[in-house]
Amino acid sequence: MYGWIGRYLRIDLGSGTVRKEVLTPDLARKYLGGRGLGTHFMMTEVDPKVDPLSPQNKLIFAAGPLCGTNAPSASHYDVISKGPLNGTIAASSSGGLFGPMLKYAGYDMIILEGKSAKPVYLWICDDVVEIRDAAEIWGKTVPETTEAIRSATDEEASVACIGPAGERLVLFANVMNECGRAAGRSGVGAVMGSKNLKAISVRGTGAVRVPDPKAFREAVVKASAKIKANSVGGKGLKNYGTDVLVNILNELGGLPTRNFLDGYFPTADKVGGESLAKQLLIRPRGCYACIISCGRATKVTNPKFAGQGEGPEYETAWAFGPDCGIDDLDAVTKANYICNDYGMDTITMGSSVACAMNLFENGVITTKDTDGIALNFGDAEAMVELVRKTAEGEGFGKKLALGSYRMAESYGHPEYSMTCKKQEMPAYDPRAIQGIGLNFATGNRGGCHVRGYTISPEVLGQPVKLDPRVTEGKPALDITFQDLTAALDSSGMCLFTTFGLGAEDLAELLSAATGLNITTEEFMKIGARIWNLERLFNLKAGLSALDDKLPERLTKEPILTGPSKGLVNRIDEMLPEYYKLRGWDSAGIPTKNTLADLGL
Amino acid sequence: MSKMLMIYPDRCTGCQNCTLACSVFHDGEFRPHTSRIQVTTWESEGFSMPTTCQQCEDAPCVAVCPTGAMHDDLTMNRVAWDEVKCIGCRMCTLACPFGAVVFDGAPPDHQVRSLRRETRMCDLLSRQSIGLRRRNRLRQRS
Repeated sequence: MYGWIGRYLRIDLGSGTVRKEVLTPDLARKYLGGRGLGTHFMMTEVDPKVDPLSPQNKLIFAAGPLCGTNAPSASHYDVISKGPLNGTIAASSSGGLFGPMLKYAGYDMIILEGKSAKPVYLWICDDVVEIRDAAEIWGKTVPETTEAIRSATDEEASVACIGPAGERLVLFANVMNECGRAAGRSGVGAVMGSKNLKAISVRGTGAVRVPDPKAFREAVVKASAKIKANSVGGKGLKNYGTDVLVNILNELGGLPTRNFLDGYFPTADKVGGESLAKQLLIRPRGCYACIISCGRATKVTNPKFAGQGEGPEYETAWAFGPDCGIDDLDAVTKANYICNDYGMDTITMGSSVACAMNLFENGVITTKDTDGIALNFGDAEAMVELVRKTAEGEGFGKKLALGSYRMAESYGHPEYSMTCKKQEMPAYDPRAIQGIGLNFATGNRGGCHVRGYTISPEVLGQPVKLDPRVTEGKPALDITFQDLTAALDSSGMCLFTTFGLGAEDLAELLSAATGLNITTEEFMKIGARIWNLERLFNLKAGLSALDDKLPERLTKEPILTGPSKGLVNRIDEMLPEYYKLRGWDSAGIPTKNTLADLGL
Repeated sequence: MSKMLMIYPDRCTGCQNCTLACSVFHDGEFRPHTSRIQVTTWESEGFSMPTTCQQCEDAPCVAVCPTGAMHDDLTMNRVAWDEVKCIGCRMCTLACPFGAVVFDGAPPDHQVRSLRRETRMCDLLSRQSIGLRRRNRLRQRS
């Protein structure tokens, strides 16, 4: 096989058995890899009703066929499991070196089953696969773990690991690789922690092959030129990182502020990408094979929040910044460093702090609940302290470790939690941008922007500018973006390549890498297949159309100030059409015809 | 126009596209392990350092080679490796202060291609003009 390696690992952590299994060409073509392939195995091998933190849940690391080639920014792998934060199918994508290294070692995927009796880590060096004792590294932070494992295995190994948060089963713990890259959302790190698996260290000396290197090179050069010519993909992201979006969204009035009480933050610029580039940036960083380099190597010298590391990117800057009413970039970056070191999702962390601040200001919780800390919007020190407490598992931090929904629910007010399907929404106000609201509500892993980034046309004008305030045409737009993203995630590409590339370019790259003739239509159909499969998993897990909704605040309480003052989201105008276009019945269940058409 | 391979580490984002380009140019497959350029990354510093053969004037790999496989190629003005003379002792990989020589041992069994044992180092794309860099340096010293 070209593109794919054609085999994967199946490791039972309970018994310690390791099996190498063959990936059939049919299955590879049907689901590509990454998110799609992982979801297929979850669907066929795991009961969707399983407790996510039980040994019966599986954890899958899967790379795509383009991973390991020099297709632009093709470094992504996915961690697929049933997510503990909200019980939906979780597929968290991450860049860095891990995905390509897994393929150089000779595997498209690792399926992890059962639970180890004691803390362990995996060492994979080409054909050698060892389950090693991790007693000495258990409890260590992500950079400490990475360093310790590299000294014990190979200095050039790629290490994907959990931090103390994952060990402690923080419900939004993530899997970190190369210290600064995160498979961030849905709490896949907690699943890894529940299996007593601290890390996977991979070193591969093999190759990823394409049928015709010259033809492949032509496809790569063509695609790279398109990304470089794009204003966002070529310049904006490299110069300012994703954080460039702060000012753009704020000027639109779509920057959720103070736990979505407002959609405009007057001093947002202080945490924006331009300020970041001026004050903290050392240099841009790229994932493996990346030509975009949105990563930020930063350093904070302010003694109160001193540190060095990666970030913040846009969602993080927003979650610890405007969402908490904070405009202190040093504090925001410090909170980011803590999350990276301990292995936590910054969006859920920040949004949970914002929710706690909202509860505190409205008198639902008091200093008695919060270990004596007054939680007022805008208090940067309190925010960093709460992040630290959550990371360390102290006092009120244990409540925050459950995510905002469970925390707010425990005080009798779940409506304060800005979540869809119990996962926190990211930094785009659905009241100002209608299409993204529908995407949050219908997202298969809950509130999430990287499942269908309609911000591209609605805000950034990529590839064409659409009016963010209208609902007309948005269901079809959402479906296109959701399907495209599902196929793209599964192929191993980074989502940011869509600033420049469309489905036809991606299909062309895939065809050149695999030697198969994958048309644009087939590519989009693969995306639809994956989306529907995820939907089926969620329906079997017990979710229903009732979960396809936005928090009431977004449909009933208008934005208070700024350019989008007075707007609410009108999801009711979009959802029925979305179901219809998806080929689902009015209860949001895919019809038999739809499934048959997709080969499910 | 003559070319030479220069590296500016302060501009490096750590993307490793150079190692991929190198391996696919020489071997027709994406196998960064045998790339003649190696990138070392210090994640905590956010810093990456690409290194390749420095074309040393007094090359340790040449000095240590027991068979003369590693030798000064006077016609092309570079350090070169002779496959016929190489006995695979790997002394050169240890001697190189930059880690620029890689020994490609028996490839993993999932590789379809035939077993081979080769020493890899930058050949400056085998283009004569690229040897200029070393010549210039020699000139500067004298």
